[in-house]
Amino acid sequence: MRALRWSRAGLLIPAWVAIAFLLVPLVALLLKADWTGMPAQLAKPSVVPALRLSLLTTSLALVICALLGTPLAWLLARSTHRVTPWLRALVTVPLVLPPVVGGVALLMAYGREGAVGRTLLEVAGWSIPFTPVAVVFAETFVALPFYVLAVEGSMRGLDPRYDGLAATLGASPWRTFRTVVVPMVAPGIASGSALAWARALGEFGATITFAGNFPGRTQTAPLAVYVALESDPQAAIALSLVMLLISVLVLGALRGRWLR
Amino acid sequence: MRPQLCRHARFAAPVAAPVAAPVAALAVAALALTGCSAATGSQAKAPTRHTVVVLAASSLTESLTAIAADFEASHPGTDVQLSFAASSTVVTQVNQGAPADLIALAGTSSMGPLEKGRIAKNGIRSMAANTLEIATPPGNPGTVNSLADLSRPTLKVVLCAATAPCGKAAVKTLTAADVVAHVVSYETDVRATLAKVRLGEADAAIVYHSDVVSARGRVHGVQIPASVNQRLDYPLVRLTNDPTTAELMTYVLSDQGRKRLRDYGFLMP
Amino acid sequence: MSLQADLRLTRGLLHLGVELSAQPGQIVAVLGPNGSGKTTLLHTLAGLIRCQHGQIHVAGSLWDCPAKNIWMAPEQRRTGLVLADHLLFPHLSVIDNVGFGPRSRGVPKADARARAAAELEALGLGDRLEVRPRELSSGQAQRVALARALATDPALLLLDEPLSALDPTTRAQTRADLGARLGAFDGITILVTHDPLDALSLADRLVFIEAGHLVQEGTPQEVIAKPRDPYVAQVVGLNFHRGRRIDDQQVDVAGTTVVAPEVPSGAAVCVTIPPSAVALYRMRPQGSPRNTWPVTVSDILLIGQTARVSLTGPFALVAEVTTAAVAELRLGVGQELWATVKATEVRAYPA
Repeated sequence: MRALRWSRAGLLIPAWVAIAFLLVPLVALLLKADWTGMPAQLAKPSVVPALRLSLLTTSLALVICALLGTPLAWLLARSTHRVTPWLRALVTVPLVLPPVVGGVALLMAYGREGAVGRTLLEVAGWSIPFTPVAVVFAETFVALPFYVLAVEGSMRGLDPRYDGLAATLGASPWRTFRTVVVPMVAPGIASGSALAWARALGEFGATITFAGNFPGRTQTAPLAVYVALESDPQAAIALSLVMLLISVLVLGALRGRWLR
Repeated sequence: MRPQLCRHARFAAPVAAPVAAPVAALAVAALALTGCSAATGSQAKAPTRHTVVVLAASSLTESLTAIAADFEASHPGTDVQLSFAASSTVVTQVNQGAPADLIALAGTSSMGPLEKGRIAKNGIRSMAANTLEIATPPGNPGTVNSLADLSRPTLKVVLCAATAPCGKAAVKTLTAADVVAHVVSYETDVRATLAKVRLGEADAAIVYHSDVVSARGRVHGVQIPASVNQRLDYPLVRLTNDPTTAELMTYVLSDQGRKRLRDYGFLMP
Repeated sequence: MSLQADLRLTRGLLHLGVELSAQPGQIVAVLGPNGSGKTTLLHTLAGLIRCQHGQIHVAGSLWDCPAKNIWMAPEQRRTGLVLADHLLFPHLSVIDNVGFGPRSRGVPKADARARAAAELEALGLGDRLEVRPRELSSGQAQRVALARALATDPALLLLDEPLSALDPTTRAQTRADLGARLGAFDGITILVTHDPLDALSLADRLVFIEAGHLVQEGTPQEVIAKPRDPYVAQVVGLNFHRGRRIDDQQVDVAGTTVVAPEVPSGAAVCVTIPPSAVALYRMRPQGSPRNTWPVTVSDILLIGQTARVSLTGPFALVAEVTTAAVAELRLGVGQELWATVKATEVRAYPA
C-alpha cells in the first residue's frame, strides 16, 4: 500500500510542479498589475494600434495557413512517395529554428537584396520588409508548421477507404477533399488553427528582424510590450494582460466547441 | 585545503527510493545552473579566478571587447564577462537584480532610471563620448548627403527606438534640424539599427560615429553638422566594491583603454 | 449494358488473371478463400486499382485498357461500391449520404434529395432520412450504404462481403432486403462473399477464384450438382474427391474403390458424396452396401440437431448425423468406426 502511495505521489508531484511552474508567472502578472490605472494604460497611443495590428495580421496568417497548409497536410498524409518523410522534416524546420534566425532567413529571401525580393522590386516595385505584409510573412512562417503537423496527424487517422468510396460515387479528388476529408478532420483543423494562431500572436524575433518595428504599421503587441518594458513597465504589464485575456478567451472558446 | 562547495549545494537526507533519484538529478542540475565554481581538489593554495561582470551599451561592443582582452592578458587570472544591449535594457536588468560589477552606458541621461542605491561609492566616471552620424550602405545607393535628404519619401530610414539613448539623441537632432525623416522602423538598439543598413535593407540610419568607424568600410558615413548634432557622454558606473572591478575600471580609463576607444571612433570625454 | 472483363495484374504476391462477363440484371457471386483476389478484382472493376494487362469493357465503353493506354478514373465510371463496413459519411445525414453521389455528378440539390429519398423508401428507411449515421443500427446502416451506391444509377454494383460485419439475425434480414432490392436492379451486380448462403440464395451465377485464378463458374444448380474443386465442394457442402475411372460402376479414389451408379467415360473423374449419405456404425454392418470403409473420427461440430463429423480413412469424409446418433454411438475424437455410403448416393462426373 505504501509503495502504491509513493508511486502515485511520484506521478502527482511532478504534475503539480508543472502546473505551478506555468501558473505562478501568470498569477504574478495579475497581482503586479495596477488595476486602477489600467484604463489609462490601455488608452496610451501605442496600445490599441499594436493590438489591432496583431489581431489583423494573425487572422491573415491563420487564413494563409489554412489555405496552404490543409492541402499540404493532405499530401503528406496520403503520399507514399519516398520524398514524403523529407518533405515532412522540411515543414518541421521552422518549428525548431530560433525565430530570429527565421527572420534573417526571410530577409535573405525577400529583403531588398534578397534572392526573391530583388526580382520583386525590379519587376513590380514591391518591397516587403518594413510593411504589415512582412509581419504576416513572419507570422505565417513560424505558425505554418504547427498547423500542418496537427492537421496531418488528424488526416492520417482518417480511414483511406472513404476516399475510394467517394471516388466511386463520382466525387473528384477536389470534391472529396472539400466535402469528405475536411469536414471529417474538422477537430484536427480546429486545434491546428488554435496552435498556429497562438504561435503567430506571440511571434517576436522573426517579426522584428524581418518587418522591423514601427508603431501602427509593424509594431505588433509583443513588440509593443518589449519596447514599453524599458520606459513604461506598467504599460507593458497592461498590454501583456490584454494579450493573455484574448488568448485565454479564444483558446477557451475553441477548446469547448471542437476538442470535445 | 578541502574543495569548496557552493553554499547552495546541500543534498537532502536520504528519502524514500522513488523520490531520491529525481531529487538528486534536480540538485545536480541546479548546481550546474547556478554556475558555482568549485575549487580544484589540490592541497596547495589554489589561485581563485577574479571574475568581473560587465553590462555595456551595444555601441561599445568592439571597443570594450578589445579592452577586456587586453586587461585579461595583462592581468592573469582575471575573467571579464561582457554582455551588450541597449543602455535602457542594461539599466532595467540591473534594477531587476542582474549580477553586474560594472556598467557602461551611452548618455548620462541613461543613468536616470538606475536605482541610486546600487551605485558604489564614488563609482561614476566618464569614459568616452560619442556623436551621431548618418550611416548608409556602401556606395550610398540612396544618395543621402545630409539630414534633409532623410525626409525623402522614397527612402527607407531606420532609427533606434526612442527608449534607447541613440534614439533619443536622433530625435533631438532631427528636431533641431527641422527634418521629418521617412522612418520605416525603430530598432531595439543601435547595433540592430546598423544591421539593417549593413544588410542593405535600409537606405540610411542615424547611429553613432563610433559605429561607422567600427564597421570599417562596411557602411558609408555622412557627417551631421555640429550645430544640430548631439554629444553623448558615456558614464562608466561601478556597482560593487570588488578590487578586480576597480582595477578594470582604472584600466578602461587609462591611456591604453583610451587608445582602444579612439581606435573605434569614440571621442574623449 | 453488359460487362466483359479480362483482369490481369500482379499485386504483391497475388497474380490475378480472371475473365469475367455478365449481362444486365444478373447477380454474379464471386467466392474464394482469403487472399484469392476477390477484393482486388472488385477494386479493379471500381477503378481503385489499375489493370496491368487485359481490359474492362462495360456498356460499350472501355474503362481500362493498358494496351491502348486507356484508363477511366473511378469518379467517371458508373459503379456503386458497398463494403463490409458501411463507411457512411459521419458528418452527413442519411439522406445527404445517399444524395452524395448524385450531387457529385452535378445533379441539383433538390433532385438529388428526391432521388435519395426514393432509394431509401425502397429499402424501408423512409422514416430515417434526417438522422445521422451513428444513430442507425448496423443493418440499417448497411442498407443506407446500399442506397447510396444505387442512387447514382450504376451500371456495375460492387458488393464486397456486404453482410459479413452483421450479426446472424441482422444478416438474415438484411440478406432478404438485399435480395428484394437487387431483384429490381437492372444493372450488373458483382457480389463478393465467402458465405455460401449469400451466394446460393442471391446469385444467378457463381464464380470461384483461388490464388487469382478462376476454378469454376456456373449457376447455383450446376455448381451444387457438380463442383469441380475442393473449395467449391466445401462451399456447397459436399464431400469431393478426384479419382480414376475403373469401369462403368467403379472409381479408384486414393487407392480405394468407390461404387457409383454410373461412371462417365474418360479417365479423370470427380466424385461427390453428400454428408447426409454417410452412415456411421460401430461394427462393420452385415449385408452392407459395397461402399464400406473403416474410418476414424477427427472432429465433431454440433449445429442444432445436426452434427458434422469429420472422418479420416482411406480418404477424408464428412458425415452428417443427428445429435441423437452422436449420443448413441458415443462419438468422440479418435474413435474408430465404419462408414457406409449407398452407391446410389455417389455421384461421378467428368473432371
